[in-house]
Amino acid sequence: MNPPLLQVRGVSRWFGGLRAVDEVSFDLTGHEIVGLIGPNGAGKTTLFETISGFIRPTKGTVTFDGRDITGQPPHRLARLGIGRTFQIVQPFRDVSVLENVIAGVVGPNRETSDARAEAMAVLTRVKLDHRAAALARNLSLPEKKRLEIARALATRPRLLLLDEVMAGLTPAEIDDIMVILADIRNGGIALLIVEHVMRAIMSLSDRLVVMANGRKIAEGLPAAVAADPSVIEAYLGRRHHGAA
Amino acid sequence: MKPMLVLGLAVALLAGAAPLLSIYGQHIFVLVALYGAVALAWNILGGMAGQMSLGHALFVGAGAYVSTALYLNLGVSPWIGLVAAAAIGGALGALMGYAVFRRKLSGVYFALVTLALAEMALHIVSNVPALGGANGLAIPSKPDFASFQFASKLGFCYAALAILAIVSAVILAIHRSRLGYVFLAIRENERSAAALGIDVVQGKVIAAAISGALAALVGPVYANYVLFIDPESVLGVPLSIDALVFSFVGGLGSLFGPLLGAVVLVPLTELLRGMLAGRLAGVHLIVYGVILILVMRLAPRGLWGLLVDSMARRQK
Repeated sequence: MNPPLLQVRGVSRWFGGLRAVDEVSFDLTGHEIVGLIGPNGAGKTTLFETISGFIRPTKGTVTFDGRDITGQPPHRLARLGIGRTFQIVQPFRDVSVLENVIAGVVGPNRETSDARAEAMAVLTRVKLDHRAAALARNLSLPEKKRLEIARALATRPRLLLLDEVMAGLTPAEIDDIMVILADIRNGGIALLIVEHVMRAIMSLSDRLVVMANGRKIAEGLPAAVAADPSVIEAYLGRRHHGAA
Repeated sequence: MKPMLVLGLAVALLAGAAPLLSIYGQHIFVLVALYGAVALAWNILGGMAGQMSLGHALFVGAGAYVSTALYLNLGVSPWIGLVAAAAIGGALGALMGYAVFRRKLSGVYFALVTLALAEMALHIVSNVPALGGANGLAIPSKPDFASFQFASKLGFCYAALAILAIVSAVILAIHRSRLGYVFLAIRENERSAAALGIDVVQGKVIAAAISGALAALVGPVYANYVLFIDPESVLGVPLSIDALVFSFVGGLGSLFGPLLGAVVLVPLTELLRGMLAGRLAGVHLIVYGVILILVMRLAPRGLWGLLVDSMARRQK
């Protein structure tokens, strides 16, 4: 059996006395969609920032494709094949949608014969090709979310970290994103998804990792996790993050 | 290669027009081309990569002093001085950029560091007798090609135009390459840039190095045109402010807006100087201020933005 694509081992991140992430470990294999869920303040985003290199872990190691990437800067991780999106969309506002995606194509500094054509192909994949010439700041929120995905996809990642790409969207728009994400996975890219939209994460994820108060409290198949009493108590029981 | 072709045609056109100008017109031509080149070089770092410098005189001055000192002391031709100037300017830009950007300082901090470094250079040069101190260095008039002195103003028109063409060609080359997207991404959003595999610190250092090298190219041409340099004229704050004002007025985000700013503001300054005949020194700074406020109110994207918008409207 192949070693997992991503191995998170005992990762902790403390801010002063606060243990935002506390000894979290999990694996992710090459063609998997893993959902990372938990109540607000559980440490999901901090863990995410740690895996993508924007925050250094206080303790623990992260291994990608068999190599230790702990503490590596984000641009190097992107070049190794870890793409990410931001919870609050961060497009290059004053340039066109196409230029945003071309920046993603050429960003990792690898050979490309035709960056523009490659960017257009990515835009088609997320159904944003009709907006290629628009300025990024003029996009609607659902379009901006898709641009965020397109740009990360353009770096040709092997693992894509998606931070709440469905937040603030209508059910129909969420359905669109789910189709896109399933298509991305079918194209051979593993996904780690932080999401509050339960309906989407339950149906998309192969496995779930549940966090609360910085710790991993459960891991497993969505149905099994949903039935786990500790998860129900920490998260689903309170129902304040019900399906959008 | 279409934009490069346009650039080539524009340069040929200007070269053809220069002999038709009066002597005074040729003087303005030289000044516009040199100031335009400084502003365009400034814009690579300040506009394209979004890192505002308040000290670009440092590069122009370094270029002017290096080439002049080499010529006066060692008899090195200013043609070689040009290469030395670019090397020094690039090295200074890279060092300055590395010192600031690797500490994750940007924006106001970078602007202040550039201002401080240019001022330091001014005071250091003012106190080094070998560089003429505060009195400056005079270059003996010796009109020959090897000394980079031309018998007529027309020669300097071509020299200044050549510098402007080099700066413009580099800008076009950057714009069409990966580096153009690196600068764009850094300017627009550094976190996103990093997430896309862009080394943000390296990108900024490269921008500072290119910008510094190109600005430094102007120094030797200016020195040999005026045959005199002193710390105030080539290292002073006014020159740094000029580069910034031309870029703002011309259009910060655009590739060639800063040149447009120089085309409008340099002749205006010269005109005012002539009209006031030495009275009211510094009045051009007041005029700059008023123009800057007007442009920011009426055309936030600068004259270039205004031009592009009006052309788009005409097409409809």
